[in-house]
Amino acid sequence: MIKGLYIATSGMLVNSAEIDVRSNNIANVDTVGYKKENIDVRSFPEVLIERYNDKREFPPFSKDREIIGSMVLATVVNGTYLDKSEGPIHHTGNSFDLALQGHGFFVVQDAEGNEYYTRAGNFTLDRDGQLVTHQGYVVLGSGGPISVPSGAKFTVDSAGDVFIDGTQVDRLRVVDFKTPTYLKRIGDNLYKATKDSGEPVDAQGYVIKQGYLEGSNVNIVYEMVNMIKAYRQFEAGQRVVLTNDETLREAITNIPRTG
Amino acid sequence: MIRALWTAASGMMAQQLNIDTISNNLANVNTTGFKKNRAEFEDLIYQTTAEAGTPVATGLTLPTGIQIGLGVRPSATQKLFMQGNIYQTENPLDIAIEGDGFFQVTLPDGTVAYTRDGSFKLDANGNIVTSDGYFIEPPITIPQNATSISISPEGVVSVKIPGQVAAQNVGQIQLARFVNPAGLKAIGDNLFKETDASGAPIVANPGTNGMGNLRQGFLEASNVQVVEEMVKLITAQRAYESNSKSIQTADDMLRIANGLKR
Repeated sequence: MIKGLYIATSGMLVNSAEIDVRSNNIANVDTVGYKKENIDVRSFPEVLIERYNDKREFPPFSKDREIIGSMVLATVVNGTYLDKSEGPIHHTGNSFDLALQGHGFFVVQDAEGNEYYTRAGNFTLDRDGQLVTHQGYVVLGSGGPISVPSGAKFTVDSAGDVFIDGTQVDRLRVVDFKTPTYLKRIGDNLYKATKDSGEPVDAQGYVIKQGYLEGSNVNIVYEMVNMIKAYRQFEAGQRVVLTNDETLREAITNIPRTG
Repeated sequence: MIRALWTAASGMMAQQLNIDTISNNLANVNTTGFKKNRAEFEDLIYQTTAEAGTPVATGLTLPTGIQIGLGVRPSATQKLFMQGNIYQTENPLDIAIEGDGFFQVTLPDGTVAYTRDGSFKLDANGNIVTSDGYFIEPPITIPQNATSISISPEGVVSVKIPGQVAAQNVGQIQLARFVNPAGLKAIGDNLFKETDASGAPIVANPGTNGMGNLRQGFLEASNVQVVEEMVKLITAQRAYESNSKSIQTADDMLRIANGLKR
């Protein structure tokens, strides 16, 4: 009976974690290059249950107590993972907006030289004419930061080659990972490589579109449906807890009276 | 769940800013030389409750960590300096810039501001001024007896004086350009000020050094596209609504949790 209380509670905790994840997705429905987060739930390892009060021999414990099945004692959040599917690509007409179609990430670097990866291609120029993100992190080409002289025409072709006034100066670095699900989100549309994501390798088969941006891949319908699901499961969990509570109360207050 | 409440609140605030920006664009759809703004967002920090790759047993690691995002924040309202439509007015003091560059005007405090709005006027002394009366920089004065003003694509201002055969050169309009125009600060009245992010102005004559050419008798309209703004308005409103549903759900779940104890 007490077991039932804890099992139901673990389910409710999972449901509330799901609501947290869904709300974050909905909050980022307009964030450039945002990849939605999904939640993965697993059960605690199953335990065998055996018949009690049956063939009991002390000592030692008998090995031949009859096993009558197995049960799961709780569910927990196993992990959250990013959904790599592509967001809708829309036209902006701004030449510093770059959309990445296919797998891959742009590479940006902070002032300390740390590299981060992003799908958000809404770049701009800083006061020195370097191509930067909105946090001021420089966007890296294969030859390092990319500088755009004032008034020069900046074009990027589909392979990521950067042209200034028609002359190729660099090529944007676009990288991919062995297992991008291991990438760590650090906010600001950025990802960080981890030991398990693998080292960045040059991406293959991507297409860069200048003057376009990749929107968030959050689908409101999907998020709403999952929110309803988590909400109702949470409600059902509450009923289970209440029923357990009711049974316990019954056991505590009524059984001694009848006995 | 309390997390979800704040997360959704950040989403609603972001969409509010989005709608503020779109409304300002729509309000300026007929403002000469206006450049539209775009609100941009970034995801907030993540709360990592389990790192991906944490060993769970010998030889086994967690394939995915648990990262719960805490919402969204506006990262910038970026000015987009795309060229607006150029339309004919036939007014000799209406000047459009075809290409890069800003007109320079002197503010009453002596500092220089920059504008794409070329609807100039003359003041009582014949000085070329903006609609707000600020002098163009370098100052140009039109003689009182001039009969016509012509401005060449390279910015040379010349006038016809009765009794003279040749046109008289009275000044040169200069343009300023910035490495990062998106870093300029809009101060209203169609004016921009230099900031640390924009870089120092590069001043040159029109048509040289990457500057655009001038077109006399034309004005540059705002670069706001009404259809685009309307679509953005619809999506922003719906996103606002979706976030409010998250708050409602989180609130209902808190109510249910409170109902656990009778």
